[in-house]
Amino acid sequence: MKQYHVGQLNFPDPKEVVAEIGLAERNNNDEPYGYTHEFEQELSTRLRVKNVIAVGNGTYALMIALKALNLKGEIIVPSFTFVATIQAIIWSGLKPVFCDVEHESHMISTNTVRAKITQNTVAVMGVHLWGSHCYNDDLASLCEKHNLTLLFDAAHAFGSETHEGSIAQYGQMACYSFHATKILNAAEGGCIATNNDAFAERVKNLVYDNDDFLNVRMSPMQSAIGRLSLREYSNNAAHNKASYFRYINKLCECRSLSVVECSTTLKESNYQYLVIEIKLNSGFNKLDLMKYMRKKGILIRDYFSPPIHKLNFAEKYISAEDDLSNTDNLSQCLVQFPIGQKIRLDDIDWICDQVLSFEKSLLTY
Amino acid sequence: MTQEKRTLSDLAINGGVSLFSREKTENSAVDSEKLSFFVNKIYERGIFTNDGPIVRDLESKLEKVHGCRFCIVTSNASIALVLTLSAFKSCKGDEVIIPEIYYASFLDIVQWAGLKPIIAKCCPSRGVIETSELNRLTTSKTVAVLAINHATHLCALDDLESYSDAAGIPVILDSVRAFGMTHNSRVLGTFATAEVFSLSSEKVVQGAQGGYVSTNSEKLYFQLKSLRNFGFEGLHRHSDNFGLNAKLNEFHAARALIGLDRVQSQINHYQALTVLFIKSNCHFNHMRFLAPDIHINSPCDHVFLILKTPGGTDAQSKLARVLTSENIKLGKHYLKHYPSGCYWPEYSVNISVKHINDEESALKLIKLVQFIDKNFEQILLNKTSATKSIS
Repeated sequence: MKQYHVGQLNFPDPKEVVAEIGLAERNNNDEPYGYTHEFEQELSTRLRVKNVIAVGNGTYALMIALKALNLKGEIIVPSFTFVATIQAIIWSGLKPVFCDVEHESHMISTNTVRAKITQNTVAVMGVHLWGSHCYNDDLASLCEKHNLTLLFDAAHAFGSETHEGSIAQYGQMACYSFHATKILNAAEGGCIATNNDAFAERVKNLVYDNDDFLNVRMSPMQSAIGRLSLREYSNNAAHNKASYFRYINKLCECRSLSVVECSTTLKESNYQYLVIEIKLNSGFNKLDLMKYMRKKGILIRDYFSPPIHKLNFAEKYISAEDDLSNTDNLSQCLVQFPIGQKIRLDDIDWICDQVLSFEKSLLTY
Repeated sequence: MTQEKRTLSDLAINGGVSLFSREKTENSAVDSEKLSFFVNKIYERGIFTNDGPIVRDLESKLEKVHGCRFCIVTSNASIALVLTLSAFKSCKGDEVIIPEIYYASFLDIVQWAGLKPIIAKCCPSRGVIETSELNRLTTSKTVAVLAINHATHLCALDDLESYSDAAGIPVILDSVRAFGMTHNSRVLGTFATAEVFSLSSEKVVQGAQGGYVSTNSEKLYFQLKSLRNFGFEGLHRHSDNFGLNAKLNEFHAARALIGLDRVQSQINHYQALTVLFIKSNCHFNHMRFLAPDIHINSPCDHVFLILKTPGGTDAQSKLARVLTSENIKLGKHYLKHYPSGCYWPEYSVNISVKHINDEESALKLIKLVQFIDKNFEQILLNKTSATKSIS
């Protein structure tokens, strides 16, 4: 039975990969990290940001960025995120303070952040979800007023742009992931993007010049795969966009769920996530849907369930008064569907037919 | 133009032609046919990372190499040390005893693990921690000892084992420079509670990047598997455990497997070259190549040039600059003088043998060292030209 995976799985041509790895390793001999620096330049151009520093994975990007900021204290962060966001904060010696997200956007807002600011707060880490973003001028003003560093986990949002420009320009920095399931794939990998030259220098020093520090560098091999993937970015994003609208068109008939749509402030998105929200009281059960679809080889996944504040290691960062009700609700009703290069438009038609059949079977019952 | 050094002005640092070309000292290129085989496998399976089959194959081969029950590969060796140390963090304490002779990143590694380094004095002649010092520093807060196996000699493994058994404190060995070494004819990898090795392109296996932990402890194995993958266990994508992303991807694992296939012939080759270096010692007055302990089967991928004549770190730095300008690749760790720690050997430079790589080049290097040795006092005095060339 054919299986339909979530995750991008955009693999550059294997012959090109082998040739490019050879080239990368030769170039790196001529100039240490020379090939990786070329990749960083290309990323900088693509992200329209002055400085990019590539590292071994997205978690390292967050850890190094936080280390370079040299902060001590509390950092406000949503619980509705991938576990790496919170783990990076803890590894960096900071204390995560969970704030709720907006039910509509699934992301933090000025209101949810404001409620959590104390005298111990030193930073706010927003998480751009589903190829969209959570920046706005009010949030930046709030952080400025309280002298807080604003930074973003942009693992979901490579290439996304608002009408004002790239989302990489927002806050002190944005940290990206090039995991194999992302639209930009370096097998593993990540980067820190920033317009702040002084901060970029501190990050570069930690990554490239400091023997006393952890080795978090991106290898020439990863850079080679990443560069090839970057060359295919526009085609892959276009394919995702077509797939996204196909899902919207096909699933508009479905009364029990809806496709989570991109923010209207976006000019461009990578459309690398196709997230479905199950409507409350619709009779649809997330786990039943997942079980039904898995039997058909459609490997849909729930996101982010359970939310981080419900995990044992995070318990000590939460108190009984914390209201994370939107986070709790969303973790019950969001599922990710297959999208990416391996998923053709007729695959999507078939997948959507299965969803409609499932709904029909519930209604009949 | 000749590369042979007849006068001081022939030295590259003084404007002469470098003894080696950059190409000559480049990393061994990957065998593209072998790499293609693995890349095709990766594509067939559609698995680029996340504990893939090539990673598991690599782990199983490494377990055979070391004769240990478990090997857990990670994205690099420093993170392998962080994870291993953090596995021993407990409510009882947070102190880790480390030797005063440590690699540059040691303090940082201990701190990332959320622990506190307690620095132990080392025996001056061998640069290793002795049991009496360990006993002196061990408190109720001690959670582990982190010791180093050097490139030329091992730490006091039997003493550490006895200490660990008696005190009930786990000992972790940094063996990143000790791949293939033996103690009492037993290959390293099963000494102490856990050992950490490197798969970096600079080390003898010549992977792309990576590290691993060898251990016989099943409990530690499962802890590390979970820690390297965000605390996840098995196929579950959420977990109550703490962790981070320290996964080795399938491409890096493939590169390490290719390196592992040829590692023994590579070691034999390095050892033969090292014999040439050691034999040449009789020609030098101010320096000598350091012989690795003959009982430990050192991979000899680095050779240490020791200054016999006092000259301090200035002489060490000058020698390093002269060699670097001849396009000789040096190990970084021994170039810096560390204010809080000291290195062993104190006044040495660390030459990467893999960048010399054949007998002809080894003989050229020996001849160069002979020239430097003969003119050493003048080279030390010749501050202006050396500084100028470096700048």
